[in-house]
Amino acid sequence: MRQKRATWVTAGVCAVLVGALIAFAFERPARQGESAATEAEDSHGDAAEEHGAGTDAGAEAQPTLSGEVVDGLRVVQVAARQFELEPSPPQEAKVPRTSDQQRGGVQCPGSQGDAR
Amino acid sequence: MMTNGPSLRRGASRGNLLAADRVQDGPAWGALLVALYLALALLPLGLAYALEPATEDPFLVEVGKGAGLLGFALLALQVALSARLRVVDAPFGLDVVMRFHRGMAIFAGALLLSHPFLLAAGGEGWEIFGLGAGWQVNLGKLALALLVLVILGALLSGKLGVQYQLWRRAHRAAVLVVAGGFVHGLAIGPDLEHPGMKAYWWLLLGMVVVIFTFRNVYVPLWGRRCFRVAGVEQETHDTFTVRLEPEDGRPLPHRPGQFMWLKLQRPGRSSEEHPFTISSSPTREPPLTATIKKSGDFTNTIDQTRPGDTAGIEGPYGRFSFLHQEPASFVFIAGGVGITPILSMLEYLQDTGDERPVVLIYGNKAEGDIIRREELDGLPGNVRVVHVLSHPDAAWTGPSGYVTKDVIRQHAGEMLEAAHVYVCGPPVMMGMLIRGLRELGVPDARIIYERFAV
Repeated sequence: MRQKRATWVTAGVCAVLVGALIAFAFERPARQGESAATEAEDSHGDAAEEHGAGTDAGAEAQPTLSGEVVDGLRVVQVAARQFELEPSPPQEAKVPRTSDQQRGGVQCPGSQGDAR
Repeated sequence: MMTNGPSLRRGASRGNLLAADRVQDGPAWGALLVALYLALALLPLGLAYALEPATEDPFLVEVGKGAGLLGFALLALQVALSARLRVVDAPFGLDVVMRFHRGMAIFAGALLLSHPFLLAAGGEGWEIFGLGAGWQVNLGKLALALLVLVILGALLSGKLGVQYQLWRRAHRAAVLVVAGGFVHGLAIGPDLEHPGMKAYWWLLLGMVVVIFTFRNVYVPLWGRRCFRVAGVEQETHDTFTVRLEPEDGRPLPHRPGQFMWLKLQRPGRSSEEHPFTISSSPTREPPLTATIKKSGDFTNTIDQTRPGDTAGIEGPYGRFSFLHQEPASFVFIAGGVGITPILSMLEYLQDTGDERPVVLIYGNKAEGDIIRREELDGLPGNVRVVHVLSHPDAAWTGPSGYVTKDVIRQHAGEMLEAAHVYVCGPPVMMGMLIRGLRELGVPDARIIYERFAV
């Protein structure tokens, strides 16, 4: 009786552990896929918003790098909008951005490397 | 744990013997231990997931990484299972713990063996099997090779006829596998870069070090009770009973039917530790007795044990005792020296005035092999003893042949409806009789036996 029960307990413990291992291995890449997709959506939204802002400002988002290189750094001037309860007309402010920031935030919206 | 005291002397009741270690003895304690085992085994996967819920690695690589983490945790827990901890033995019995240990060793070995193959197949590349893969990877492979040897050695040592003591020493090499796996994981495991996982890894190593040190340093030096040989009596041509007196005067608290690890210190002879059944009843101790048959390198010298020799005793262990059940009646079936735990139980029944019906079916080769025949034949009226001889001489008028289910049906058939059946003897005989008892309709819950592969 005890020996038989021991065999069942051993088999049960192994089954639980295998189940947990498979769930673990299945879940982690799936979560990565989810977060990557979420990041892509967020970035796409940002890009669309950026595109809209550009239109409002009378400028189009360019697929090529914009701005000009100053001392080895690409300086891009982008428009930042300020919202209040009653959206006020967009006020343009010149914010200098480096090429690194541009690569991460504007030109490569779905980059998985930045999603982590 | 059981406590020492006068309650274990003559007249001890079932309640007294069980009360002292009731908590560790019960099924709730057993369930708690299984839950703790599962929690500790699953903790690395849970931690790895909690600390990094998403990775870029494909499914196969994640299975491979998880197999490594889980396999190492199981390997570390193996040390706890094999340490003969009495809190672990109490609810299950050491034979069951060792059975679990064996099963989990094979499972952990399979997980760890699959670990590099899954990583390679998942995209890490087959070059990890080459020697140029880096010392961290090579250390892991070395540990894995040692693990395979340890597992194969444990599974095949009996068939290959390896000496028990040699096998035990070689089996301790498994701790090197844990050490190798620990360094390998810490050096190269991506999940172990997180401080939380590192802490768990160190916790596992700490547990292994503490338990290994307890088993291999503390117990040999301070963990055994000191007894002195009071006498050695010859029972049959090849069986001897060693009487042991405690040096501190306190009897060893045990249940009838339990066993102990005995290490005799005899001048001019190497001292070895071996498990032996306690053949005396706690109601008659001291002295405590071990009845030992010459059947191996160590036991062949048992008759050279002298009064005054010292003995270290660790125990008691095991659950082969009717005190764990509530039998309406008893059928004891023994073969040869397998009578020893039953002698202890019969003495206990007699000393406590227990009058429940008992049938003892005792198989031997010849009349000269019957251990303590006079004592058995002088038992009270509620005990019926049936001697069965496989090679009787011409003068024998009793049952002859082997103890089979037909013999059981003939001599104890009327009791099988309600009796608990206790079986102890050579493995082949036990296997045959357990099958036979099932065929006779005795449910597993009423067939009591211990089967060792330690």
